[in-house]
Amino acid sequence: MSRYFRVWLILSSASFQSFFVSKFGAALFLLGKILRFIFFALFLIYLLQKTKVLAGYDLWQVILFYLTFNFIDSLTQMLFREVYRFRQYIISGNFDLILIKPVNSLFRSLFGWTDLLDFITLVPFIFIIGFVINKIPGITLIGVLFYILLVANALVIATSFHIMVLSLAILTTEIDHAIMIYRDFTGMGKIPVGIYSEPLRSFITFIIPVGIMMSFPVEKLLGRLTVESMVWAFAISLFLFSGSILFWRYSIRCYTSASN
Amino acid sequence: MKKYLILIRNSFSEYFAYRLNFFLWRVRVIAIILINFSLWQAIFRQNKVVFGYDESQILTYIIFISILSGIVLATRTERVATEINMGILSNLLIKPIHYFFYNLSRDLADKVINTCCSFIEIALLITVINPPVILQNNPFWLLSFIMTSIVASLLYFEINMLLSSVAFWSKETWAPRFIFFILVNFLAGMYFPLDIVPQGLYRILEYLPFTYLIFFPLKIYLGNITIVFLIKGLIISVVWSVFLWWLMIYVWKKGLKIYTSEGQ
Repeated sequence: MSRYFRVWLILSSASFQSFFVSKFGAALFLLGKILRFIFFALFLIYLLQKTKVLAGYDLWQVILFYLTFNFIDSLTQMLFREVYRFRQYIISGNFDLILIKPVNSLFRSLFGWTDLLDFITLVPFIFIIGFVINKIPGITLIGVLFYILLVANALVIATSFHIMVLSLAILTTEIDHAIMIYRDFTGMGKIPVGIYSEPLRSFITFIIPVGIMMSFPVEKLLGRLTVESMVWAFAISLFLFSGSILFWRYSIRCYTSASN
Repeated sequence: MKKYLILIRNSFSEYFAYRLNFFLWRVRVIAIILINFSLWQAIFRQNKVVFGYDESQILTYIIFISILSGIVLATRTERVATEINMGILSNLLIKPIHYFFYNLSRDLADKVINTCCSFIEIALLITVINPPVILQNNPFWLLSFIMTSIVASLLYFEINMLLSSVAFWSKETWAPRFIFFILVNFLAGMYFPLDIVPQGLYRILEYLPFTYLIFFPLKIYLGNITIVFLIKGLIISVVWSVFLWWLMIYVWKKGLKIYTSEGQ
């Protein structure tokens, strides 16, 4: 475990250095991410000022949903940026070079590139989330602990989806949009999933569990989530993670190194 | 003319070479519509009118963004930056084709495919979820919608060519484009009609080209506007497109003078 942590630190250090090769470009990307966050936040605030509530949630609660989404999304992108480059390894045949290294190929394919820009945005998100939680009455310490636990659970689900995308890349090589579809669907979690009508709501809660990832942590914090739903959330993430590992093993067996 | 038609045909073939990728791209488009659609639908469960719009107007606006995106925002001009940076541009410059028309042909193929797919998807969405959609039948507003959509397409082409021209001076072409995408998403009216923002801000937005990419044509489609609004918008958008055309040619010529065909 500690060996893999050291490998991750070395890979992250290399990827961080590459951001300094083009400081201007990195600064523009960071500015873009900040602008995107601010624009949508302003839109939500402006909207809630007019409507007062959205699907039964007030302004601070809706903002907390949005912030939690951004935190999970940034953390996922920071850790798994390598997935976005994985197709190139497959079509160029360079994946062979990963397979022969004395490091687990799944680990290398998932964590090979750490995004510095998303890392920079994480710390402010934690502070803002703390500030917003402080504005909402009736929050308990137990609620906060479950919130952290469910955010960790969201990360397990996100990992599973990234493993599935990697596997899909090996099997089909046509995955340019697969990871973006994952991001579009998780983008539905910017706002409470309770606003979506059926059958879309069930689809994004149980089939693509955006609700479990993005909404459940906040709902638990606000005391609106049952124990039964929490158990389901952990069971689904365990099922997805196991399924994604099996899918990865299957795809590796199908890999033919045809491009090399 | 024939050579440009062949270019369009080749661009179609490129799309169908990667069918799964194309299918997944369309799934993305539908997902984006559904997000916006659901958000506004939830808002209208509690309110009859929001920001001066009723449910049918907003939902029509959100759904028709898909069609207008196919007409206006579908483009392949991001390739121009790669062609400059990789030196591929040299191969194209020596061919007996006009480089801008070459790009317009690729864009046209992109627009035709995306617009056709949008029509099919919208028809399916309307059939499945049956939203209160306004189908405009006034020929004047429909003609104005088509005309302003063409101006919007030209504007978008010019801005994208200018962004790609950055490649003559820098390898860093994706970062400015990323900022541009975000500005288009919010300032062109991809999430909401721009006139719901505070009046002071809207008066500034009125003079920016982004407003005329999505919001202006869709507002015309909805039809609930004055002739003054239409004429003022047309004048501003045409002035922008003439100015950006001149700027695009000027920057392109300047760029070609320092182009070194690196990598070839």
